[in-house]
Amino acid sequence: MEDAKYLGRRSFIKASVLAGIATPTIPALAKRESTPAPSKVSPPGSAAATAENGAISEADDAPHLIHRPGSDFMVDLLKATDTRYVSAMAGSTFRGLHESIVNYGGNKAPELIVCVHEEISAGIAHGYAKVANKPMACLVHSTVGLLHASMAIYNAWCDRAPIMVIAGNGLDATKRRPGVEWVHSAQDLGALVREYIKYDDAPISLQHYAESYMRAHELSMTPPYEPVMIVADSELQEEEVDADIELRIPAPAPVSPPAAPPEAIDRAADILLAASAPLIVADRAARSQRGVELIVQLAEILGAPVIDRAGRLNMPTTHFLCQTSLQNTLIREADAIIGLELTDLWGTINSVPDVPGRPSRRVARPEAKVIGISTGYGYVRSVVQDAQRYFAADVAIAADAEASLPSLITAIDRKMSGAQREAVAAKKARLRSAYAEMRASDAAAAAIGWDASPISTARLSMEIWEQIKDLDWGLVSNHAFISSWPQRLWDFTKYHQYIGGEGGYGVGYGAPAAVGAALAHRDADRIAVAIQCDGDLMMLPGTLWTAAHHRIPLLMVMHNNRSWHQETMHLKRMAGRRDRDPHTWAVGTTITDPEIDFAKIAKGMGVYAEGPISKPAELKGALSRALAVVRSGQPALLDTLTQMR
Amino acid sequence: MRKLTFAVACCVFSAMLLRDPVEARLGAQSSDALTAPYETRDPGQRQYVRQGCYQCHGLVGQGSILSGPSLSPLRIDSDAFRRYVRNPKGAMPPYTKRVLADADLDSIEAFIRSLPPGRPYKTIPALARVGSSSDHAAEPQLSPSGRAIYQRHCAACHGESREGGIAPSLIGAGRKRDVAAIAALLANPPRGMPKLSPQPLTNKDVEAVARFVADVR
Repeated sequence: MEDAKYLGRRSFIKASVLAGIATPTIPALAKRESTPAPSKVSPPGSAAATAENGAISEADDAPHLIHRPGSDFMVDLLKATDTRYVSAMAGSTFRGLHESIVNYGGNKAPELIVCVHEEISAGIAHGYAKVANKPMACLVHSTVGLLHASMAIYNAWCDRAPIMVIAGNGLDATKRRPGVEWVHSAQDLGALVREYIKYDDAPISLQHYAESYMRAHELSMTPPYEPVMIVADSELQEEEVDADIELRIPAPAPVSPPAAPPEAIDRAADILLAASAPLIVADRAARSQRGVELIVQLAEILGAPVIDRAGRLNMPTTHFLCQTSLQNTLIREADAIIGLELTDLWGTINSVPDVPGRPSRRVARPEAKVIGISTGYGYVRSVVQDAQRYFAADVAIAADAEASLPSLITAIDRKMSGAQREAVAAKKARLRSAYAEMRASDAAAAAIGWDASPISTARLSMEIWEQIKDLDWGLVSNHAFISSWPQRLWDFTKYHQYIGGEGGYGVGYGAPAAVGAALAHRDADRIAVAIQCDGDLMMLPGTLWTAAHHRIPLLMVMHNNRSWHQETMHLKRMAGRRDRDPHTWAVGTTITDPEIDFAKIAKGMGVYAEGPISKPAELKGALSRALAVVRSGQPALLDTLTQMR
Repeated sequence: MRKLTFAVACCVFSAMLLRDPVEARLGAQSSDALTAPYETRDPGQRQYVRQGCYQCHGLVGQGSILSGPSLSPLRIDSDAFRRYVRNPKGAMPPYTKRVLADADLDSIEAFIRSLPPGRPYKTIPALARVGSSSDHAAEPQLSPSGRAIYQRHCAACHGESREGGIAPSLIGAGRKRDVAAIAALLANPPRGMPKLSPQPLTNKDVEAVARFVADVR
């Protein structure tokens, strides 16, 4: 240590640390003489630190602050498009935008809807859009966050629902810290979901971001509505916007939906007027209440029954021409069929029964004329096969159905002869009678098992209906899983009262979409009701926490049949055809042993809950209590044990 | 007694130790345990569940438009029932004697026939309102149409759209038989087909449904 006094202070500290000496100002020898050396290295004193780092200059005292971050401008764009909500699970690639939403934007229009999984974020945005009729934003972390969200984005794409996905990403490799920031960055982030979004861009300047954002918003709301995605580069979010840069928010320019050309309308009108038994089949035809009213007008002028395939609410179930329950017969009897925004026109005219060999057969009459109006004719992707089987319609029109109906109705009215009007009037009595018999037949079918335990799905539906029918309500779940009882038994009259299903049949849609739809219904002061499948809720149970956290009023009644019931039938079918063990179908298809206590799960997430309820007589009181909670502005869940379908 | 209990316990424990560990793990997923929550003590009901009948037809035979027709009431006789289960049409899987013994099939049939019929919907206020709740519809005709009679009494076997099922397809039936011949068939049904006339169908009902089947309006 004799030499120590000859070392510069900086070199001395280094030498001391390397030698494991605790306090460089105390000679090691002396230290040895007094107390044992401590095992840890203590930080140097202020004098040593000054020597190490240099004296802090008074002139450099001001910290490096960002007063005008790029992400504030991104919030301006969200506000410019009247985006009320942004669903997100926190992720570092969008931390700049996250902070701007909360502090710069005041966490109001848009408000952050906090989620515990990105699939929930996208599912909420999916459900919201179908009630609010506009997109909300869904903010996702790069790569892993987007991949989590991708399932729900796929559902929304198949369901023609708009979502504004904003994905964080760090494109500049020289700015990434080693490790995780590399695996959470992508050279081309859009590639992960490009086959099932309508448009994506990765802007490299804020003005570029603004224009692409507006284009994305516009495309998402031009039929067919679809999810779109903008990549928000981390540096773009976080860096200061130069004072001399003047950023402009481009004006929104809503695009008129494509309408059918006059010659195609004429041909369609001629076919429908020549038919004695015309039939209307609608799937995602109505985009608004106006769409519903137009379908009613078309049906009435033609005297044509309507089959509502229920991608959206197309036809009031109280109208005598809404004859969905008679669909198998109507398809066989029709001599002209017009399909409006059908997911599957081929599958409407033909069928493939699930029997060995899967033979195809035409169900409709061989001579029946078929008209298709759909934006799907002009929008198809190759990787995903949602285009369904090719069908050569007699008249195929690449246009939006709702936008085309006014000219079709006008053309029919103009061309219709007096004799044709009399013929339509003459058959209305028969159609009214068929409707009344259909409703009575559905009611009679609902009575079978009315007192059964577990509770029949018909009883469940009607107990709910009895409690909500005098309120302003919306059903925010797919009714197909419960034998479509609500469609068959409830009085649906408004577009917003039903939003269809998953689109892509991706399980896990139900709970988040219901919460998103309930959020939009809350803004309109309506009560949202979901009949929630157990298998679906197990995919994303964390959705319940979001509902509780944001006080989203939603009455969630479980359709808890303790199985992935569709799959039980598939397994049984396989074993039966192979003449094998008749009882093994339960392995891998049932959710028993142990049975799941959904009320406990919900309570654990902060949601009011009761159950399990298996006796139908107990349902009315439980529903009444849960509905009171919902009307007070909170979510509630009833775990009801139900029959299979 | 205490010794006997101890001996039995030792035997059970030894048997558990000797059991193949793979088999023991599979036992945790035994089908019996998985379907137990759906089952009752009725042996016919238990077979009805374990054979998967309930999957399509419901635990109380209510059926579903998505999966299978209602079995409450079962409208066909025992012979027709057995023949159909052994060699069904459509998506229903076949049940051979290897996987479903005659005795078990008998117990299933007995269970189905013991199911209570649905209550008349008009006695259930919520459903009674559905049957007459339309803003636009006429009241059902005093005499129901042929189509309505068909849906109520024939569709379970011949298919909702006459496409066939348990019983043959009736599409194009009018080309083979006229209305009178179809009505005669209803009055004197062939083997396996239930006799619906004079009860529950009146002569007028029989004629109406025969006209519907023959496509005569």
